[in-house]
Amino acid sequence: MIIEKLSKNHKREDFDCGNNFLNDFLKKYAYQNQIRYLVGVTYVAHIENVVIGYITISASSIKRVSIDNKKPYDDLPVLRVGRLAIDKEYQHKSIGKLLLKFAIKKAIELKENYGCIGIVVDAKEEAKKFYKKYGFIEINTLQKSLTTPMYLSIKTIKESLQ
Amino acid sequence: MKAIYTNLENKNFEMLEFISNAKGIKKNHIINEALEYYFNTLKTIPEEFILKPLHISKDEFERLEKTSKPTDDLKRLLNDN
Repeated sequence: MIIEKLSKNHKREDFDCGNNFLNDFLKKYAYQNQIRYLVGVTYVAHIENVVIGYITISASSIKRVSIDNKKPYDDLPVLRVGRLAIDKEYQHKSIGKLLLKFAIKKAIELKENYGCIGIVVDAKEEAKKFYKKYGFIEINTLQKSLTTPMYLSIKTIKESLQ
Repeated sequence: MKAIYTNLENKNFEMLEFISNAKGIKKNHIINEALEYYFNTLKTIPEEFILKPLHISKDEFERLEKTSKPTDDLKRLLNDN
């Protein structure tokens, strides 16, 4: 299995993680987001170019807001994991774990080169347990969202490395 | 044409004034163009695929930093080769 940036060579037509939203994203929007809109990069886990899992990441920020006037006064750089999905045939085989580890390494690279205080994932309800296991904590944001943002600090990542 | 009253963030307002003065374009034209662009983007990429910005309070940020602790699973994940 190889993890690399999504390209036209990767076969994703038959990808099925059991969630139509995540299937559609990979098939219709992930590549477009990457090359046309430049808003995120998708890395795929594949076997002989057949995609068995993917993770979409982007450089983002948390806007720390003063409660009194609700004006952002601080943009804190983070790596954002927008989506992570594994094909049904390959679920429970630690591929999600490897993709998460891949994203954590990218966050460390980001921290070293440009600054990054942590990782934020936009977790669906059923994925919250997975992320909690790896130390992510739920963020109480000031606005509503379809997913639950969860945070893991670079400090915690550094403390975990031996 | 219909009129609305709304508040803009300072940085957006300043940019609007700057572009309007520099290019001699009316502000309502710029706003209409920007909205059209935004709506077209939503048609191209459905709203559920667009990640919302994250706004949190200072207290919440401090809570996150204090609560974030390594778990055994995280240690194993990062130290297994």
